[in-house]
Amino acid sequence: MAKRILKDLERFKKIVRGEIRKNLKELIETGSIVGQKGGDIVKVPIKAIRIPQFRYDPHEQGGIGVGEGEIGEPIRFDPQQDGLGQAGYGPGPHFREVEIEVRELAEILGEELELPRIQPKGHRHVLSGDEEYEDVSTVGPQALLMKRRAFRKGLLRQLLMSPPLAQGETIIVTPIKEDMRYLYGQPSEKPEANCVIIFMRDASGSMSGEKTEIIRQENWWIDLWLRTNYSNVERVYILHDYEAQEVSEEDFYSLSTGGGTRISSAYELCNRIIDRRYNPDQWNIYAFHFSDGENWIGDTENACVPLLRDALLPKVNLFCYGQVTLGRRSPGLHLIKLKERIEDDRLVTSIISDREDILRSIKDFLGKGR
Amino acid sequence: MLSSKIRELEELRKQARQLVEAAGLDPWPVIFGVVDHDQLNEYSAYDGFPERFPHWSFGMSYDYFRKRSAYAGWWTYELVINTNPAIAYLRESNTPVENKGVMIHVYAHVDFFKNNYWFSKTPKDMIQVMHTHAERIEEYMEKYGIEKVESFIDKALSLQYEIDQYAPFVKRGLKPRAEEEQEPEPSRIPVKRDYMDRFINPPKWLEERRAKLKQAQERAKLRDETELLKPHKDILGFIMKYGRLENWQRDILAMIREESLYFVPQIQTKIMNEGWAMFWQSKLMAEFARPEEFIDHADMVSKVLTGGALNPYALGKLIWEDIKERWDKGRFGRDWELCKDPEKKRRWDTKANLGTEKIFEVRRTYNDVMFLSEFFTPELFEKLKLFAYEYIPETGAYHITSRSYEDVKKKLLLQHTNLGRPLIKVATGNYGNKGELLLLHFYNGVGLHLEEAKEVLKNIYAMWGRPVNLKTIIKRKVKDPDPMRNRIHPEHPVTSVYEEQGVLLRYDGENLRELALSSAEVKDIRLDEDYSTIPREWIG
Repeated sequence: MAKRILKDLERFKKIVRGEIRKNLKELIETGSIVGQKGGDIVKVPIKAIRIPQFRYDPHEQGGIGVGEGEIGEPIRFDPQQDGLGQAGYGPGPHFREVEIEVRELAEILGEELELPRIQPKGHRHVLSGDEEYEDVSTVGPQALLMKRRAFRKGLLRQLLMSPPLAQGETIIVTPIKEDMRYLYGQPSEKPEANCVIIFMRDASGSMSGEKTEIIRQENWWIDLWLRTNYSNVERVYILHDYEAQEVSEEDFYSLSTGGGTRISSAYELCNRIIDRRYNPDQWNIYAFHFSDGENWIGDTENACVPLLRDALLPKVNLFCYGQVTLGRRSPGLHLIKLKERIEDDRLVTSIISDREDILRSIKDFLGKGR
Repeated sequence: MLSSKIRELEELRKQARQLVEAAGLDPWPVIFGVVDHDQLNEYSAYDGFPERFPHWSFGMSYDYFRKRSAYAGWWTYELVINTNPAIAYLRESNTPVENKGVMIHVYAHVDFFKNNYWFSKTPKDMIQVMHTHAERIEEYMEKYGIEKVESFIDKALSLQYEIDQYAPFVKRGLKPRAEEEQEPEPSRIPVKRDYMDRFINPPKWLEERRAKLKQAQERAKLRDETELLKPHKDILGFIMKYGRLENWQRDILAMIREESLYFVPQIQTKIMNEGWAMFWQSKLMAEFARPEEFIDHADMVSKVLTGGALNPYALGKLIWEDIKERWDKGRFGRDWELCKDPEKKRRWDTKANLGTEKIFEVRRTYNDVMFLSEFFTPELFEKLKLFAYEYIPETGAYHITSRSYEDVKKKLLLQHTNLGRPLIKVATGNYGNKGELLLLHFYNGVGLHLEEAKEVLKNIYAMWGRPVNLKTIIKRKVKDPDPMRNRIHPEHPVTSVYEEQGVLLRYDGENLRELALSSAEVKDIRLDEDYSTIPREWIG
C-alpha cells in the first residue's frame, strides 16, 4: 500500500507544477530563478502555494539577534531564513518560496515546451559509480572519515570512562576505532553520457546591457535542460569581437569590448577546442552562438558558412544561433545568410527581440530532441 | 541481530528512565520506535503523528524535511508526541550514546507534557483523534470530491490559529444557553399509515432539515443582537457556528479547531519545553559522565552565543540553568532586588539550595510569556550579546537598533504573546445590520502583513457567505527623510516619518476595498503598546 504521505506529496507536487507552469513565462522573463548557482535545488518564488493567515508584517515586527555589531549597522543574517527566531507559527515549516529539485524544474520546462527527450548519440555508455551520502556509518574508507565527529565521540568516551578531571587539567583525545564515523552511501550505477555546451557571444559594444541579460537568462534554462539530460556536462565560454577567446563564465556575461565583429573567429576557436578536447565519438556537443547579426563584410558567406558546413555541423548534436535584436535596431544579416546557404537539421536559428521571446526561442533550440 | 539491538535499546531505556526518575522527573511511559530517516521525515511532516487527514500541506512539509536531510544534512533530532503513553522516535543510525541522550531529552519533554498546567486539558489519546479525523475527511472526499473538500480545508486553515487559546480553561462565550439546546423540530409530511412514515420522512432527511432549521434560527437570533456584548476571540468557532456552511464543512472546522487546541500548549511553552529537555539532557549526561565538562553543553552555549538569529530553545535552557543557580544561591527576593552593589551581587551565595524545588515549581505552572517576563533578567541579558533589530525601508535592510535590556525583552515578548500573532477578534456577525462579519485587529503598533490578510478575508468570505470587514491600522509615509541628515550621521540610517491610519478592509465577494476609519473607531482598536525600537534620531 502506498504510504499516506506520498499521496499528500503528490497533491503538493501537482499544485507546485501547476503554479510553475502557470508562471513559467513570467519566471523566465523576470529572471527570478536565474543566477542561483549549482546545487540540486532551485528556489522558486511562488506566493500561491501557502495558506494565508493573519500575521505580523515581518518588516514591522523586527527581531532579536546575537553577536557583535554597532547600533546602526545592518545585520549579517537573513532573519526570515534563520526561522527559529520566528515563533508564532504552528507546527511544521512555513515558506516564502518553493524549493524544487533541478530535475523537477527541467521536467516542467520539458513538458511545458513539449521538449522531446534527448537521445544521446550512439556513444558508448560508461557506468559511473556515483555515490550519494545519506547517512553515517561506523565503518568506511579513510576518505569518508568525519574527523570532527570522530573526535567528539572520542572526547565523550574518554570523559565517560576516566575519573573526574581536576580543575584546569587538560585531556588529550585519541579517537579509537569505535569512535570513527564515516559518510555512508549507496553506490549507484548509471549510464554516463558526456555532454559539452559551448556558449559563444559577440562582446562588441552593441551587445551589452539588456541583450546580454537576455542571453544569460536563456543560457541558464538551456543549461538546466541539458544538465538533466546528461550525467556529465562540461561548459566552454567563448567571447568574440574581431578576435575570439575562451573566458570564464563570469567574464562571459560581464566583459564587453569596443572592436568590430568577425563571427568566424568564434567558430574557428570553437572548432579548434572540439578537435583538441572533445572527441565527437565520446561527447555530445552543443554549440550556442548569440549576436545581433551584424558581421564583418563577407565573413558570414566566405568564412562562417564553410566552417559550419564542413567542419562544425558534422561534429555537433546541435548548433544554435540566436539573433538578439532589441526593438528598432535593424537586424543584421547573419541569420538570413546562414539560413539561405545551409540546410541541415543540426543548425537551428532563432530571433529574440525581447524577453518575451526567450521561452519560444528555447523551444526553437531544444525542440528537436537532438 | 535484531533482537539483540532491541535488548540493547531496552537496556538503555531503563537506564535513562532510572536517571530521570532519580532526578525527580515524572514522565508518562514512553514507547520508543526505531525508524529510518524517511519515516522520520514522514512523521515530522505529520507533527509526530502516524496519520493526519489528507492535505497537500503535509506533503509540502514532507518535501521540505526530505530536501533538508538529503541536501543540507539537517535532521530532526528527536520527535515525541504528547499522548499517554507518549510516543517517540529514534533514528536507526543513532549510536548508543546518542540514543541515551535522546531518551533523556524525550523523557524530559514527556515530564513537561504530563505536569505543565497548560497541557492539562489536551486529549491524551490524540493519535486516535487524528485517526478519526483522517477517516472522516476521507469519507467527505469520497462523497463530495477531493478537490472540493481540499479547497475548503485550504480556506479553513487560514483561521487555524484564530481560536481562543484559553478556551479549555474557562467557560465562556459560545456555549449555548439552556433554552437554545432544545432541538427545533422540522415539520413532517403527514402520512396516512405509520409504517410509511420512515419512507416519506426518512430520518436522514429529517436530520438535515433539523440542522438547517437550527442554523436559520441561530442566524435570526444573531441578527437580533446588533453587536455581541464583547469581541470574541474564537473566530474559527464563531464561523463554525454562524457561517453559511454545509454540515460536512462545519464538521471540518470543528476538527481543525480541535487539532489546533491540541497544538496550542506546545506553541505556548516552546521555549520552556525545549529548554527543559535540553537542560536535563545535558545535566544528566554530564552527571553520568562528569560535571561541567560535557561537550554538548559547551557546543550548545557556543551556538547561542555565536552571531545570528537568537535560538530561543537554547535561550530556554540558559534560563532554566539561571533559575537553578539563582535559587541555589539565594539570589532572589527583597534583599537581592534592593542590592545595588554589582560586586556584592556577583559573589552572592546564601547557600539557599532551593534551585531544584524552584524549577519544578516553574515547570508546573508557567508558560513562555510568564517565563520570559519573570526570568529573562537584566543579569542574564548582560551575559548574552543580544540586540534588537528593525527593518529600515530606506536602506532595504534590517539594522541593529538597540542593545538595551528593555528593548530586547519587549521584542522577545512580542514573539510569544498571543502565540506570536496579531490579536484579532470578531466584533459582530451582523455588521451594519446586514449579516456581515466584522473583525477587529487590536493594534499594538506592529501592522498586519496586509497582502496576506486580504487573502484571509477572501477565504473567510467563502465560509461566512456574506461580506467580511476588518478594522486595522496601517502606517502611511507622511514625510521623506532629510537627505542632509544622512550626510551628518552616516553611521546610522535615517527613515521617513510615518503616521498611523485606521482602515476598514472590506471584501464583498468581488472587490476588496479600503475605507478610512474615523478617529473614534481608531481609538477602539489602538492598544496602548509600542514595540518599535527605532531610535528617535533616525526618524525624519
